Amino acid sequence: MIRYTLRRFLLFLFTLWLLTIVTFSLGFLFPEFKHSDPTVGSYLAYLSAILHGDWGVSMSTGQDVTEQLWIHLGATIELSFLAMLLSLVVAIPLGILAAMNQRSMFDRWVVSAAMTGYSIPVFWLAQLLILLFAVHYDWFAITGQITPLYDIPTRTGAVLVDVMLSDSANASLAFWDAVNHMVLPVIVLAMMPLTMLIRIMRDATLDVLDKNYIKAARARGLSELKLMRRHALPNAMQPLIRQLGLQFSVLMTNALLTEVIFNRLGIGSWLVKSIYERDYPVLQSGLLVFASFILLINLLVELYHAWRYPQVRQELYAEY
Amino acid sequence: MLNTNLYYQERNPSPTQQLWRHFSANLAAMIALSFLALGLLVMLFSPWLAPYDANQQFAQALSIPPSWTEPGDMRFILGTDDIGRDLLSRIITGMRYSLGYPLVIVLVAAIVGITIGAFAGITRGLRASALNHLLDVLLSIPSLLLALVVIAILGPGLENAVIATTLVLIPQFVHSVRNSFHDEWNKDYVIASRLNGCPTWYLMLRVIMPNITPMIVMQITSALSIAILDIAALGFLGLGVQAPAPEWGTMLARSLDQVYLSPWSMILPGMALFVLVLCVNVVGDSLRTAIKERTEN
Repeated sequence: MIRYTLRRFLLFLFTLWLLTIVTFSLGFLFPEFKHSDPTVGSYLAYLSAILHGDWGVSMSTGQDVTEQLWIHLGATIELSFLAMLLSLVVAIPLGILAAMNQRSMFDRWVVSAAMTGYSIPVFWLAQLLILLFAVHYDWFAITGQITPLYDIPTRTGAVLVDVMLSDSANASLAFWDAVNHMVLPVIVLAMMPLTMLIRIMRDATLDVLDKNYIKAARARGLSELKLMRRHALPNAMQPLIRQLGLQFSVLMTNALLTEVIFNRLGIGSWLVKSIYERDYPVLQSGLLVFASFILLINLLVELYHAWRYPQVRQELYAEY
Repeated sequence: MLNTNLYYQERNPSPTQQLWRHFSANLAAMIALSFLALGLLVMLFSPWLAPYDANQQFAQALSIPPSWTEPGDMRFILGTDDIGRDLLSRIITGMRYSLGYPLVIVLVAAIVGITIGAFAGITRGLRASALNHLLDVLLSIPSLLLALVVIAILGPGLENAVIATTLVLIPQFVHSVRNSFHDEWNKDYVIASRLNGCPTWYLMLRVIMPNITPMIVMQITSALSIAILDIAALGFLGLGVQAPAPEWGTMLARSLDQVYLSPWSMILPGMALFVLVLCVNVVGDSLRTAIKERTEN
């Protein structure tokens, strides 16, 4: 495990280093943004500035990029984690139930719903939900993080955390208002990983249920519930966890679109705005952070996967 | 017809034929495939099928709902948008952007990616390892984000969106083709051909390629679905196809302000996009199942 961790961690550092080279060279690829010549010296200066947390000043707002960065990252982390959580909570039981009743009406229904949900373009889904739940029924708010009437200072960017940190008199009202703003974006974001995870979970459970140790457990007279919980589920989780990193990347792509549609604070909408405004310092650091965040999540998922399932490490080292 | 086959002879269907048997037994897959074929025909004949020009404005017919509703107008079957353009014509003409361009993109990306992947699949050692790690990194970054980076450099526009999406799809082809080449390389039939002294190009084109064709077709369908969605997403963000062009994503972005007044101008282009992506995904998915069934039997 130590060997694997070290290897994976070195690769991660190497990747980050490559990323800094890419973002550094972006500075010279932009047509109207040439501050110095692309030399090794200026690259080292850029690298040390990044490491010291000096990420420059936004060209459109004049604000310090580092400060803004944490706020936007916090908002995105909150939104994407909630969406991932929602999709896991819904997908795992549905996948298992579909696999347990293979070829039943329920199974067919779940599989085709998953296929349909997977094909809906996120920005269209968002608009449909807005039309239905915000325009027609007027249940949820659709723009921003929270009603500006609640004077909540932005500290972490994650609006629910901010509300809890604030000493506002209406903290609980503000909290539910923030939740109300968050429902639709979270559902939209959760849709694609949700449908993928249902399929993965269903296939994995089907594979596991075919194994001999399940037959043996059945022969020993274990109840169906115990069988699923003790023998099938832990093994069926392995393919799911292997895919989590990839699903998170998909989710982050959609976060970019969702944040723009729902007008939310976040690193995705920040990036898109910086492209419109040709705000290069923001673009450079936004890209660097967005990509490293995705890579970091992938690294963590892979490490957990290798730690939890020793057979993965064995496969890796038997081959390499 | 007279059966001329007098002698008992076992006929083994080729792998592709076997695959087609499994595939065509699936009703959903065949429906999706025929929808795609229909879409392709509509795209090719769009200048003749569209009732009006995509950008022609009817000043007397602003925001007319689809013809099956009460205030609808039979002249505009799917209604008009807020500046009086016929939606049916726009959706039909828009197929060129939303299906045509992705098809070209995937074709180019496939040719480049398969070539690189094939050569990468037969190299060993440090170069292969370096490429592998680089690909893993590239693939863990979402395709839309990579496309955004390219557009940030080149600037918004249709050509740049096409270039960006093509560049982004290439690593996916390289990765999957490299892996399948890698897997096939040590199989008995390839070793036999190598011992027979086949030149490398023959090995690649005539020995290995036919065996990984289904995998490549599957990769093409998944790339097509990504390309369609990315082009639409870039259009939606205003970074791809620019405004008057009837690209579906751009139409959706415009309808963002109109959705309260004329919901059909949002629902219909989105529906077209959704059906298209669904068909591509169903075909790809059924192909995956068919491949699995064939190898299991």
